[in-house]
Amino acid sequence: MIEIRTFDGDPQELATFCTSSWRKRYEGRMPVPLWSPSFLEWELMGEDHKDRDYLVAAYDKSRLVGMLPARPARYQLNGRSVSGTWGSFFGVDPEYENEGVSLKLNLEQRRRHRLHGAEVFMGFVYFGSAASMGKDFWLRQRSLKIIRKVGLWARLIDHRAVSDFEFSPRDRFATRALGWFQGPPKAPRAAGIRAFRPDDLSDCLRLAGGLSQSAEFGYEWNEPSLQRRLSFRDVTRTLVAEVEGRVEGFISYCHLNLLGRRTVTAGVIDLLSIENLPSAQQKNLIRAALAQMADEGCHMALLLRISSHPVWPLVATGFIAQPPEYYYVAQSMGREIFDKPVKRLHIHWR
Amino acid sequence: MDQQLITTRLKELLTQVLTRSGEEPPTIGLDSGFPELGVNSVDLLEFVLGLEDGFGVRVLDDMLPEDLPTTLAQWADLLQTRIQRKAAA
Repeated sequence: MIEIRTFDGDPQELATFCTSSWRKRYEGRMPVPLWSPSFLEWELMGEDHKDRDYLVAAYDKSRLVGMLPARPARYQLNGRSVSGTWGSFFGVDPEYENEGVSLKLNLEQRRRHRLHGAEVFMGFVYFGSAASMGKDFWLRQRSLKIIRKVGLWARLIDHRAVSDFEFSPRDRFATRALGWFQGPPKAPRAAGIRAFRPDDLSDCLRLAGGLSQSAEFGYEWNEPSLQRRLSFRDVTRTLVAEVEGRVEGFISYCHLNLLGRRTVTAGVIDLLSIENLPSAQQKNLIRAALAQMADEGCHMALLLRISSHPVWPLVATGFIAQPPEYYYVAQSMGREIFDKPVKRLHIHWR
Repeated sequence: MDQQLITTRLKELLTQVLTRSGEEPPTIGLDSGFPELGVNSVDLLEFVLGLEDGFGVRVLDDMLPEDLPTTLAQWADLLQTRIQRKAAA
């Protein structure tokens, strides 16, 4: 008998379940993220772990057999503040495939959204591999709307490692060949770039607010939410760039291990604010982050390819646009809130 | 709508869903549990979309997980209620 209730475990159990359910389904067929406990604690749990309203789980007695976790988020849609959530860590134990667990989890998640007045549940659906089952489930839902197809920017740091990670012979060759022309990133000799400090928060909040306002849909930031995004134990790394003593740009990333034919570590850039910087300093900030990633053992850097990220500084620092492999999707609770197309997004990839 | 007709149409629909990839149709009884019939989440959604289209009602919008039917007989009961509710509205 399947029971749908709030997840009652710790980040370790959450990471073990999410990773193992994906590995059982997809290992050897498509890339699988290897979530760490601290990563999921950062993304899904509040400060004291008590804020679990959207951590919806399925249990067979005491055995965890499914998870559809989400986090509360404030968005702005064309200037209107919207209460919602986001989540991309959906997993069901393949042994329970025929128990209706996926649909039950989603029905419970919808009930909780209605209960808390959340208007929309946002997430990504991967369609880059025929093996991916998420698309078959999510895209059949009438209440789900595809907002945009999105892809990633990738900057390879260790081309050989990424080549060994890739599944397709074509990608393995292309990756290796790219390494003949593109060396590893080098730290720039530039002044004014340094690690984020707590007293940078108000400047970063001003810059993040600018990113949000320039988008048609995206996160609304406040001090606690941005503080957590930019600085959470050893999970996030943030660099800032100063102009005349004032922070005018920042880049924030985290590490994520990905399992393909081998495991690689990606430096996933979640927030990039460089519009206020002079052109040379834009590239210097990105190069400094890439060099730091290389020092930390990252094999590549990834960044969501959306129009709010300026193209030329990324191209100049060695990023290459990957083909779209994700749908950014919205499940509205009740009235459809996306009544016209949205092009400019301010979101992060998971 | 006649309960017998609803049941027959639901059985046809479920058979269609479970054989869409060319598999042999299982023996579907009114009280056969969907888990035992091998109905996975994608099949289940396909079935629900089919019945919503076929009978002109929406069933998932306000459904709670504990109310999700697990046999054809339960689905037929639910559908009958929804059709009557729609007619009365």
